[in-house]
Amino acid sequence: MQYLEFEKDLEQLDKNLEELKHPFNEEGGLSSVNNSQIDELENKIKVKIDEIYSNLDGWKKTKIARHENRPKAEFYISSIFENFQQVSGDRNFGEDDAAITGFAKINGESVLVIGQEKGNDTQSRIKRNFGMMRPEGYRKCIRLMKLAENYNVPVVTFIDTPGAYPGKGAEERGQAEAIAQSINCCLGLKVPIISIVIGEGGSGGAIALATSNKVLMLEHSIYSVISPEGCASILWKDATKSKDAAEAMHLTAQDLYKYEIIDGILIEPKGGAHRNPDLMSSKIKQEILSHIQYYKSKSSIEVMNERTEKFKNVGNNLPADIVSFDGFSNRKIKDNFNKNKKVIYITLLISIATLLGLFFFLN
Amino acid sequence: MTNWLDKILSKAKAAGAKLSDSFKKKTIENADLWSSCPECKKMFLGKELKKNMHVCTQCDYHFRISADERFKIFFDNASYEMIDTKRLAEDPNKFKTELKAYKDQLKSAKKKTKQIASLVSAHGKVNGLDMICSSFDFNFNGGTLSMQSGQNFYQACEYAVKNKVSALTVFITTGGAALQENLFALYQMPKTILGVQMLKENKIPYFVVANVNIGGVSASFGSLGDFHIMEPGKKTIWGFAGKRVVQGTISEPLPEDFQSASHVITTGAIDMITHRKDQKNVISNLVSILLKKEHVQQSTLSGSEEAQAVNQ
Repeated sequence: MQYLEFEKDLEQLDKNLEELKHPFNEEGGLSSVNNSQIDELENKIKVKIDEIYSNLDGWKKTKIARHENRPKAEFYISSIFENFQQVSGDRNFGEDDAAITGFAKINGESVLVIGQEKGNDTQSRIKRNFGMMRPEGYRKCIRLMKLAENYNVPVVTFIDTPGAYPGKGAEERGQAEAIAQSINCCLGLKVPIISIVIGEGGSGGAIALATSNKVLMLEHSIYSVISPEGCASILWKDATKSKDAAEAMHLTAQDLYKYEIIDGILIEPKGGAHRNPDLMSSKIKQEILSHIQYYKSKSSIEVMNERTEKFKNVGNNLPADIVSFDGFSNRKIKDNFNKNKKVIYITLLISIATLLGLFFFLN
Repeated sequence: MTNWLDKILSKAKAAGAKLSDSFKKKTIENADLWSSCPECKKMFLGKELKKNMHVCTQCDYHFRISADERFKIFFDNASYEMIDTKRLAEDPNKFKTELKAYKDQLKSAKKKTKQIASLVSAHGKVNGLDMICSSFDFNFNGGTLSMQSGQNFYQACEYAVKNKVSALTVFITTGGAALQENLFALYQMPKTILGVQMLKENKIPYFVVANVNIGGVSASFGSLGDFHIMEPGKKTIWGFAGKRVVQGTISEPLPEDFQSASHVITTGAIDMITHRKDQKNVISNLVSILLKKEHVQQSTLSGSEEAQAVNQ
């Protein structure tokens, strides 16, 4: 298990517990099991996890969202769906392993599953290109979403990517156009799309597959227009300011839910999804099922309208600034003040001088 | 005794310095009359440059001009009507750091450009055809796509459909999505695409004319034009990730003209590279062919060349 820098205390406690539970003592003999001590320590660990995980800022959440032991799309797909049949290729250029795509059933309901996969170890990470999709990946998804639409099969997407791949070939094959077409396809799809951000929702690479009816996020996942590191290097010209950037950007599930940008948060097991992946996947499964059930009674036009209204109206609920409302009236006053600065200062000076003069004169 | 005298003297000095500063500022403002070409370093009188549509007479460098200047060049007789839009929250993400507040940044950008957002739209005639033109302004916060810009574009599309205009052209000079607005900016990608879908449903030709088209803009409405036109030049950009970011991910050196007009015309991302003085005619010609409408082509000579031709 990988421990993050703010989990140092937890690491020590976990180690102690392991020692207590170990059947052999240091001399190699059988250790006497002290149940009350184990219980006490387990309680302590619970309290510690609560303490750490109830008080997470944007930067800590970013670290958890990128945790190497965090369950990835491949795990969720295998644990949630039945009869998953993987399919591949964009029929034009190639196959992109950063996105796992296929048809499956979930409690008897047919779905198209698309999962951005980062990989679990060095080998699989290279194979999956760290979850960074290429144009052919998006084009593969477009092809399959249209196929699903034709057979009235809903779409489920798992979002977990640092962003679309910024390579030379990807640029030359039209990365921008592929993302734009993918969003375009999602917006016009007659079947419902349910997206779950399971880790990192990175910019255009994420929204290409998250222009959906329901955008859900796991409790400790993030979703942003640029990585905190990228934001820091652009605004501060200093990548070490990532922590400040993560704070200012409001990229956590909680912030985004408050802004009414996403539609729901899935609470993770205590201490993050990686401490109990099975519990997490059963929760996600329930959530997907309830949404599929909900959309069963909706017509394709209702499904499409719900989606377009959502993206059309984002931010419209926030109060517009009064100053910006009546244009530049505020500016005019300021401009006039600036123009007449000298006159105003001189009259002020003269009046003060006369007052002082009067004061001394009267004395 | 000397203490307060010193104080007054130092204050007077500071005031004097301020005064001379303000004078200096004025002389710098005067220098604005002059501009130099970033490509070949030739000096221009502002007036001269304006006459040549802000294109360098020596090396054909296309300056990144304001929305206002775009409209003046694009519409017949430089006459057009701005399209008013609904105002949304200015700083929806409440972006606060120890740096200059985003709100203040917007305020100074508004003052500088006299626009409400980086993208504004206008309605007018182009070679006799009824058209709408949206344009980014690079001087407004680096031409970043904000929530208000997305709203402005969406409403321009609505306006185009309602008034049954002949075409909508968007001039793109952008730095991508406004990262200070985080998802509010990212969600403008689907929103602007909804606008484009509306144009396509109503058979209104949609033109993209780009100088710098990158990031969230190129990955949304900037890549879905019926026609993609690019201005010439080494400093033009069409792509998703910036050149520096791409260079960071691969080991071999990138070609010098990577992502510039001469490169992306070979990769198939754009239809043509067109000089600023010809853009109007190319667009009106295509519209007249597609919609079977009459249009009046104008001389492709710029103002100064025309004067010369008349003299000859």
